[in-house]
Parts: sequence; structure tokens; C-alpha cells
Amino acid sequence: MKKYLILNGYGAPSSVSRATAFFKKSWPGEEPERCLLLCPDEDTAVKLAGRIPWSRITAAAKAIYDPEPFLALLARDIADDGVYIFGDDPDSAGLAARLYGRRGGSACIGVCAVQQEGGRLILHKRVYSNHMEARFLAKKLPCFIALAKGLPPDAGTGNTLPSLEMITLEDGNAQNEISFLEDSPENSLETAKILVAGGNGAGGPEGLACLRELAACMGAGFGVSKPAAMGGWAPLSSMIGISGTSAAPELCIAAGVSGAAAFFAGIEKSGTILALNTDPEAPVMNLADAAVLGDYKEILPELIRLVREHAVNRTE
Amino acid sequence: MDILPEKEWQPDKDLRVETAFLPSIWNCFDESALAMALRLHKENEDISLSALTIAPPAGETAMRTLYALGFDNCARLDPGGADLRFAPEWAAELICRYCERAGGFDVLLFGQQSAEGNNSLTPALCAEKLHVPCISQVTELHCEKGKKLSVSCACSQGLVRRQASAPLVLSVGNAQISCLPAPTLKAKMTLGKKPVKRLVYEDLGLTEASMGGYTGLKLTGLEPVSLKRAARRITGATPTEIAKKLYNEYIKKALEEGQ
Repeated sequence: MKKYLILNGYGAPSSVSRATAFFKKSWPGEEPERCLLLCPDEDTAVKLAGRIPWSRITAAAKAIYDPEPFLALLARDIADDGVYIFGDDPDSAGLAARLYGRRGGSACIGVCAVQQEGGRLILHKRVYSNHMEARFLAKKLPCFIALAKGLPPDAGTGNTLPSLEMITLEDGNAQNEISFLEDSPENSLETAKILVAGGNGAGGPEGLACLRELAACMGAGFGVSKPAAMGGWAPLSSMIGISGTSAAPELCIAAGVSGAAAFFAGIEKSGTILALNTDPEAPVMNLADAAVLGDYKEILPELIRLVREHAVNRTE
Repeated sequence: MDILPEKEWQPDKDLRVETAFLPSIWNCFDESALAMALRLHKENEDISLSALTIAPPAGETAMRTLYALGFDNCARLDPGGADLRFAPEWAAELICRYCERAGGFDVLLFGQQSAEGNNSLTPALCAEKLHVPCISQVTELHCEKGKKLSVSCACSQGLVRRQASAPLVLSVGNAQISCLPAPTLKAKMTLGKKPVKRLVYEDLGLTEASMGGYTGLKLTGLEPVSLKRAARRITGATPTEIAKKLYNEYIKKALEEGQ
């Protein structure tokens, strides 16, 4: 069984670190047969190569992300006994899915753990909106897997002198038909030490104002559940959960969120979770370390005052 | 599943979880895709809308709602006893054969993933089988001249707009156009009564027994995930008292460690 690692260098560098950490944990002491880094240019490749703990890296560059040339490159040389590991972002999942469609074998998106037992490959992933974990046997190789969000990043020091081979892909005609609307904002929620999260209980964008204020005065990240983001109460980039960011802060304050599994997947790795909710039956009331049954809008003004006072005392 | 107590999340000997008695709701990605289709139809009334569900008979209620909202053709393919939760390859084969028999298509719109299987494979597999381009994480869709569409989609670099030509497959992600309107009573009473076309595997030249040959993974285990924590209740006579407790017991420490 040969392993190939395909890293997406278009997003946050932490995505690359999480994929390399997954590989090291799953196959300790092994190096991938090939480590392919997809990225916009050589500068990015050089920067990211320092985070990759292997000596040989191939980088394929194209200025604006377009899956087609990368698919063509990857599909050229698929090993019959290959396991192709892609990152935890939707673009990587799309590449894994389409290569599977093109080549056959097996595929699994959202893998959180893998075990190799001789010639058998066992894959674990969350299903039923994060309520259950399924275990699958890959019936056939090659196997194309994309990782689940929120896996731990590589704590290693990376690599100072990798051998980097560059492949520059030509811009095809499709390039002319793509225009940027907005750049991806840097995702501060992934790295926030403290996170304040709001949801449907806010009742509208104005109900999120005091949560934003609390986050700002604590220097915390601010995120929302999917219904709040879909309602336009906050930007889509601030969405937490299966469809959004998976955060792992030391402290998460979840106010006015029910704790539905699809949302909770985004905060379950928090060190401590505090929940504030008016519904005693809301799932979050049992999923938190500490819970307040009450209206967060009545509690937050005093909390904001105490946090501000703390900041003033620290300065003095 | 959120409304089921944890003790009910028990798989049976075939690793199935009984959810048939739960109220039926739209999958959020499917709902966005349907809302986009209706908006395309509004922009260009020459566009004809068809919907296919692979579902037991109860799925026809949703199809009748779609008729009432303006869909032209709605069909339900009966899954028989087949377990479709983790069989995206089988679903893709059925969808592609349905498209061929229905006389082709310009745009195939999908929600990006189901809640149960969370497979995220079916749209890409259909695109590859049909040899047409696939755009994923679609957030917005508009008609342009000819058979062209303006498609906004998310990618790792940000939000991009593509001008795409039919035929193509679109997989809808986190779109802010996400709610289907409620049909009017008049539409329900007239359009909603149109018959839903019923299909079985044999109509597509397949049998249930052939499903196993299509799947790449075999489900060998399914366990509930318990994420419960201590859930200590913080109480107080007033909101101010509760705020002080939260600050002193949790927040002050986090602020000091973060500085």
C-alpha cells in the first residue's frame, strides 16, 4: 500500500500542518511515496515547504485555484495500490471525490482516523450530523480520502532544507472566465484562545451586538451558528460547525445557541465550554462544562463591565 | 437526530438507526439548491424544472410541494430495501441513468451532502460519469445569455464568480439564499395535485442486487458519539450575581492565561 499526500496551499497554512500531523499519526515513521503541494506560486511553495516534515516535496503552481488542471495532473499516474490523502478543506474533498469518480477504487470524505491492518484499510468518520462515528473497510484500492475538519495540527518544527520540485501549470481558457469577488479572510476563529459564539437565540443581528462587544473587549474570536449566518446576521466566514470553522479555543462562551450537533462539531474541541440559554432542554445545556439558564442579554452587560475593569487593572 | 434522546441512537444488527418516525425536513443544502432553481426559473421562464428524489413513498409529500412551487416534473425512485446512506456511487448511477432516460439536462443541481451519510461524493461522481464540468460550494446562480450561467462559489482563496456553459453539475454549499417559500393554498390545491412519477430500479435497467458492485466502502461499525460534559449549573439571585460568578470562576483565568 503506497501513500500519497496532496496538500492544499491555497488556504490557511494550518490546513497543511493538520494533514501532515494526520499522516505522521496514522503511519508513524513512514514518509509518503509522494508529497504534492498545490499552491498559487513558488513563493508560497517555499514558505509552506518549511512546515512539511519530509525531504522531498513536489509543488504544482497555478495562480488562481481551478480544480481541472490539478485533476489532470493527479489522474495521470494513479497507483493501483495507492492511498491518496487530501486535506480537510472543501477544495481537497472535491479533488478526492472527482479522482475517485475518474479512476474508481474507493473514497471517503471527512476521515478522522485511519488504521492499516496488513492489506486492509479501515477508515473512521463522523456521520448522522456528527452524532455517530462510522467505521468503514475500503473494499478496493486506490483509496481517495479527505480529512475531517478540526484535527490537531503538527507540533513539529517542520523542515529547513527540503528538496522542492516545482511544476507550473498553464493557465487554460477557463482562467478567463473566473473573476474574484472577495479574498478569503484570514480565519482567526481557528486559532482563537477564547471564542464567543451566538446563534438563533439572538433573535436577529441586533441580538448579536453584545456578544460582539464581549468578544472585542476580551480579544476573543466571534462566531455564529449556521442559522444565524444563513440569515445574514453575520458573515458566512464567521460560521462555526460542520459547514464552517472547527475551533479549539481554551474557553468558548456559547450564548443563545441550542447546541445542535452540526454546530457543536465546531466547538467540541474547546477546553472549557460555558453555555447561556433560556431553554433548559437545549442540548448545549448538557454539552457544556458550566451552564446558565437565563437570558444572556441580561447577563452580558455586567460581564462586559467586569472584563473592561480587568483590562484597566492590568494596564495600571 | 438532535431531537432524539441519546439512548435512542442505537444501531440495529444491520447498523441502521431508526429515523423513519422523525419529522421530515429539507436538508439545508438541498433546500438552497431548490431555492436557486426556482430563482433561475423566475429569471428565465423558458427554463423547465425537474426534481428527482430517491425515497420511500413519504417522499412524495416533498415532491408535491415542489409542484406547487412551480416545478414541471417531479419523480420518486423507490429505493426498495436498499440502504442508501453510505452508497453515493449507487445514488450517482441511478441519477445519471434517470437523466439519460429523461432526455438529458442542462444543469444538474445538488445539495453538497446528506445529513445521515455525510458522504459529499454524489455530485462529483455524477459529473465524472456524465463527463461534464462540476462546480462545488456554489453560493449564487444567475442566468446569462444563451446557455450560460453566472456561478458564484467559495474556494480556499475566497469567493469567485465563474461564467459556465451548460451542461454542468453544480453542488450547492453554504448559500445565503437558503429558504424555500411556502406555496399558496391555491397552488397546493391545483399544481400540488399533479401525479408524482414513480420509478423502480428496473425502469432504469438495474436491480437492487446489483447495488453491491457499485460501493467502494463497507460499513463495519457505527457507534453513538457522546460529547456530554459536567454541565454544572451556575445560578444566582440576579443577572449581575451570575455574571460575577462566570467572571471569577472561568473568564478571569482565561483572560490571565491569554495575556
